[in-house]
Amino acid sequence: MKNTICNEVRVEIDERELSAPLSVAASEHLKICSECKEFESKETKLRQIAGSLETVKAPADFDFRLRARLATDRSLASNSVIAPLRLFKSRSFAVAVMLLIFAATVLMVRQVTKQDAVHETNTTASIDKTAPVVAAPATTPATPKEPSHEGTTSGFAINDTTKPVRRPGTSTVANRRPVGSLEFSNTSAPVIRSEQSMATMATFPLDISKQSFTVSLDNGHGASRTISVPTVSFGAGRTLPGTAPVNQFAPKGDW
Amino acid sequence: MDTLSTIDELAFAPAIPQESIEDTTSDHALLEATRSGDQDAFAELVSRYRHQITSYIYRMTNDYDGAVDLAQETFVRVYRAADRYQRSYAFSTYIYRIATNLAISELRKRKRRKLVSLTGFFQSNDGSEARELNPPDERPLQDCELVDTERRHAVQRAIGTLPEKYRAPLILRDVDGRSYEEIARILDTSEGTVKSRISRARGFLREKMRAYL
Repeated sequence: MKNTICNEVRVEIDERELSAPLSVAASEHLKICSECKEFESKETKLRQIAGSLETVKAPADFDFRLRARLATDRSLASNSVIAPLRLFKSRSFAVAVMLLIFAATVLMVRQVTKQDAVHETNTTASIDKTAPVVAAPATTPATPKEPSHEGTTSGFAINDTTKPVRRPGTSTVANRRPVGSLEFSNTSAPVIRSEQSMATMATFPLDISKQSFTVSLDNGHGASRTISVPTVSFGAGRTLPGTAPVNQFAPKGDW
Repeated sequence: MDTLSTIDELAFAPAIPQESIEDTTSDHALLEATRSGDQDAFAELVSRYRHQITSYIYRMTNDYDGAVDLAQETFVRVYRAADRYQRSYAFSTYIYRIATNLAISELRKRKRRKLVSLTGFFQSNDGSEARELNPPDERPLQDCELVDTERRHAVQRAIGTLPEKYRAPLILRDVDGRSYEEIARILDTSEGTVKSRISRARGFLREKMRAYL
C-alpha cells in the first residue's frame, strides 16, 4: 500500500513543473516518508543543475557561413543536370515536350522510309542503264546491283538496305547479317566476279587526284560487299620547274 | 492560432530569448515570406533560433563545431523545404524535429564509427541497453563558483552518456524547458512515452551525479 502511494507521489514529483507546488496529499506523504523526501530533494537538485546549463551561443559568423552555404547550394542546384527537370513541374510544359518528341519521331521515321524508297529506285535504275553482269552465277536468284563508277557525288549513302536473298543451305554470315558500308557515290562500283580473270582487270585508269577507289565484290551467293578506299594523300608535293617527276616511268593515271 | 501557439511556446520555454517575445511577427509569417523570396524574413528566423538550435544540438552531441555545422544544416533544410512546410504545428516544433533527427543521425554515425570514449560500457539494470560508462569525479571542487561550474560540466557529461532515446527528451524538458506535449510532437511519439523516458533518464542521471546531489 505504501509502495503504491510512494510511486504515485514520485510520478507527481517527476511530472510537475519545478516552480509548481505539490498537491496536499503528496506534501503530507513527504513529511512521513524519508525515502520519498530524499527522492524529491535529489530530483529537484538535478533538475536545477540541468536547468542551469546556459544556452550555448552560435558563433558570430554563423549567419555569414549559412548564407555562403545557401549560396553554394543554390549555384550547385542551378548547375545540376537535374535542374532542367524542374521545368516538368509545369504539367503543360511536360505535355508539350512529349508531343514535340512524338512529332519528331514520326517525322524521322517518315524521312527514313522515304530515303529508303528513293535509294531502291536509284539502284534499280542504275541496273537498267549499266553494262550486263559478267558471268553471273546461275543459282543467284536476285540480280546483283550493277555498279557504275561514274557520277561521283559528295553525298553519303548507307548501304545496309541491300539485304541478300536467303537460299536454303547457304547460311553464311554475310547472308545472315547485312553489311553496312559508306559509299562515296550514289551509284555502285563495277563488280568483279570470281570467274572473271583478274589479269584483265590488272590495270585500270583512275584519276588519282580526285576519285576514290571503290570495288564491289560478290561472293557468288547473291551477297555483295563494296569496299571503298578514299583518296590517299601522301602529303604536299612540289614539282620544281625543269625537273622530272619522281615516278617518271609510270604512265599518268595508271594504278 | 499562430499567436496562441507562440504564447504557449513562450510559457513553457524560458530559453527563448527576449527579442522573440518582443517581435510581433510570427514564425509562420516569416516562413511564408521566406517562401516568397524574402531573404530578410529568413534571416530573422535564423537570428531567433540559431542559439537555441546550436545549444540543443551541442547538448545532444557534446561537440561544439559539429553542433554548429548541424545547426546550419538544420536551417538549410528549413530553407529548402520552405515550400513544403505545413502550418499544422508550431515552427519551433518543426525546427526542433529537424535538429533532433540530425543530431540522432550524427550520434548513430559516431556509434558506427566507434567514436566513443575508452571508458567502456556497462549493462543497464534491466539489461535492455548498453550504456557508456562515464564515472563521475568523486572530488567536487571547494570553491562555490567552481563547484557550480563543475556540477554543470558533470551533468553535461552525464547527459552525454545517456542513450539517445533518453537524451533528447531530457534535454528538451530539463534544459530547454519544453512541455511534454511539445516534446511528444518534436519526437513524434506519445506523451506517455516521453514521460517515462524522461523519468528513466533522470534515474540514470541521479546515479551518475550522486556526488553532486
